[in-house]
Amino acid sequence: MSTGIVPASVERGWRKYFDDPTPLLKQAPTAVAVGLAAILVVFIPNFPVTRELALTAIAGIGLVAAVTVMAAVLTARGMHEGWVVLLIPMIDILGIGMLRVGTGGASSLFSSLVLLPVIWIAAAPGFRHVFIVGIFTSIALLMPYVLEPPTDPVSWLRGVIGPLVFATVGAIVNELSRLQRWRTVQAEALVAERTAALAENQTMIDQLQAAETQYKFLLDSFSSLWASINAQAVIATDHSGTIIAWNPGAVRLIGLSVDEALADVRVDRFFAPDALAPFADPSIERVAGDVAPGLRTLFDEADGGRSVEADIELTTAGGSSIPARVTVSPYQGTDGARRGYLLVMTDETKASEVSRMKDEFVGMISHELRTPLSAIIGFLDLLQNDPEQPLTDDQQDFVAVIERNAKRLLNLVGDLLFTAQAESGRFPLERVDADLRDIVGSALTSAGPHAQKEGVELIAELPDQPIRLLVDPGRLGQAVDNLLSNAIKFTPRGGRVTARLEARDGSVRICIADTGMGIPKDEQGMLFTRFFRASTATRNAVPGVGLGLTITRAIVLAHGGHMDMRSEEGVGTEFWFDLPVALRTEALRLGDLRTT
Amino acid sequence: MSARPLALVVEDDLDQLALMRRYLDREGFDVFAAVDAETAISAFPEIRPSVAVLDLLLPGISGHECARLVRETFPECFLVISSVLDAAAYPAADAALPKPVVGASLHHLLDSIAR
Repeated sequence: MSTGIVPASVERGWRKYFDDPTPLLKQAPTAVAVGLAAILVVFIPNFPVTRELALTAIAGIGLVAAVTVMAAVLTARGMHEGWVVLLIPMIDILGIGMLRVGTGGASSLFSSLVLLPVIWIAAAPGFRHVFIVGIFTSIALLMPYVLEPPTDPVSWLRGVIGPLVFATVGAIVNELSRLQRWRTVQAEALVAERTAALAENQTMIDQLQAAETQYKFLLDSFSSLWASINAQAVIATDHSGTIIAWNPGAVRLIGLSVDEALADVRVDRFFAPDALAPFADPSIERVAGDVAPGLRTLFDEADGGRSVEADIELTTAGGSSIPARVTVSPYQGTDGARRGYLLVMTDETKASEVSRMKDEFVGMISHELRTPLSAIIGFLDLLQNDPEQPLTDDQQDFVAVIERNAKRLLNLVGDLLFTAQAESGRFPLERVDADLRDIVGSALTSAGPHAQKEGVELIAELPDQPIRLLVDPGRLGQAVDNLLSNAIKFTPRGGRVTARLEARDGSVRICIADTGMGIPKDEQGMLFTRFFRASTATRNAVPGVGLGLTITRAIVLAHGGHMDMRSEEGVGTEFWFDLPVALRTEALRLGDLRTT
Repeated sequence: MSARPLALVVEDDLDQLALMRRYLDREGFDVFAAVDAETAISAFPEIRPSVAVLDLLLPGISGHECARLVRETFPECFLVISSVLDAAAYPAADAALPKPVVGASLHHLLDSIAR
């Protein structure tokens, strides 16, 4: 029997010695009883001792004494169980049997001592011990008849009935012990289970505490983050657009306190209806009580998992309007479920003011520059074409130089204005149905004199079939002019410039290739930067200000196309752009709506 | 020379005004020149221009407004807008004459209309 799992804290006192009794302790009752019997026999003068069999009695006592010593040895060696241990009570029974033989046989006072080792054996686990009890008690009780067989055969029954009673007692003891052992095992299992559960609980509590600490930390960081966002209004709404969170930035931008905003306010209250109208999708039927259709479109976009950005005019609580950039994203709870939408609004007042001022400035400057240039060019024209006072040939030449330079200045002003417009993303395209062969052809024609002067051969590779697209012929012509002019400028005398137009799969490519000086690899990435000039240009004193490619690319992009180049120093340069055959869907897109 | 048709020119830049007066004179027009829209409008009762050349960027009343008034008052008048602005920004008119203007382009334009 082991009690190792029982917590040490359980108070057991002296009884603990009985939890796992040593062989010596088990032997003690028998040894003491047999010892007392020996003392009684010696000191009581009239004790009925069979003289002839006194030696047998002494041998029996000796046998018990011997196994008591054996019990002590086994105890000392820590051996508490096993068949060797069980030999002790078995020998005890035989010893007591012999004692009984010597002290009167069947009438001996000490017959009942057999009970002590019997209980020991019977308490051992296993029903076989009941039979061992029966056999050994039978031997012990029949011992007197071995030396002196009885005359009455009925006396032999002693060897059967006595052991039967002992075996019955043994069976009861055996069953009781078995039950007790089973209960102990049950109790121990229960204790183990409880202990494990307790330990598990403790782990769980520790984990919960750690999680709580982390959660508190996150909550604190989030709260301070939330409170510190002043530059943007951050607003969370549920699915129906009702505000469920309102940060200090929103208080500042819209002028509504947190309490006021959380009092069942719908977010579209802060958008002017006509500010949202461009986003509305008329094909979606309006549900009564839903947010404004334009906002619903943005919400639907956000439902698609994308965050949507749009420039929308806000209406503050005070009724004034603010240009703002609004980002709408899906708002997810910690469990991953959609809880509504998150709107982040940035005040664009300053940005739009700056952009307006810049536009005004550029417009003013170009007006102020163009007006005097127009006067110069106009009066030069008068000078050249006055039938009453014709100029001399020299004078005509001089005036032509002045005029040419005035026109250069005028073009420069136009380019500057154009790049400024292109940068702010708005310059008007007047698309008409045009044959690209005509556009490339007329660009080649006007580049002719320039090429001839530079000693460069111009080659046209145009298809036989017309290629018609919806383009702005003026702007596109300007783009081709720029590329041709660059190619001619950067090609040494005797070189070739080829203009190629070809229909490709879904697009049209216009390519201008030259056999010129090329552009160094490390400078190619800078080519489309405003005012950038390649080192080959500055080294070879090629005139220009570095706006041509910027303008060309802006025109190509405005047509929904894209542009690229490749170049090798000393071999030549190739610039091309592809225009989509199908009209790009910019016009179909929702206003300024951008999805990221 | 009163048989010559009248051209109304509204232009705040005096050099440009003088240039336009020269061109129109060569094309056979008398010219009523105004440096702002207000001057032109106040003269409306006395004049009957067959051609009007208007600048857009004017002090006071804008060229757009002036063009509308000319169209309203003189429906028969051939309305030309001439400005440094992009032609795309011009109001509806009979012709656009982006600056810089040279004699040939004005000549070409006026050639096409009946005097």
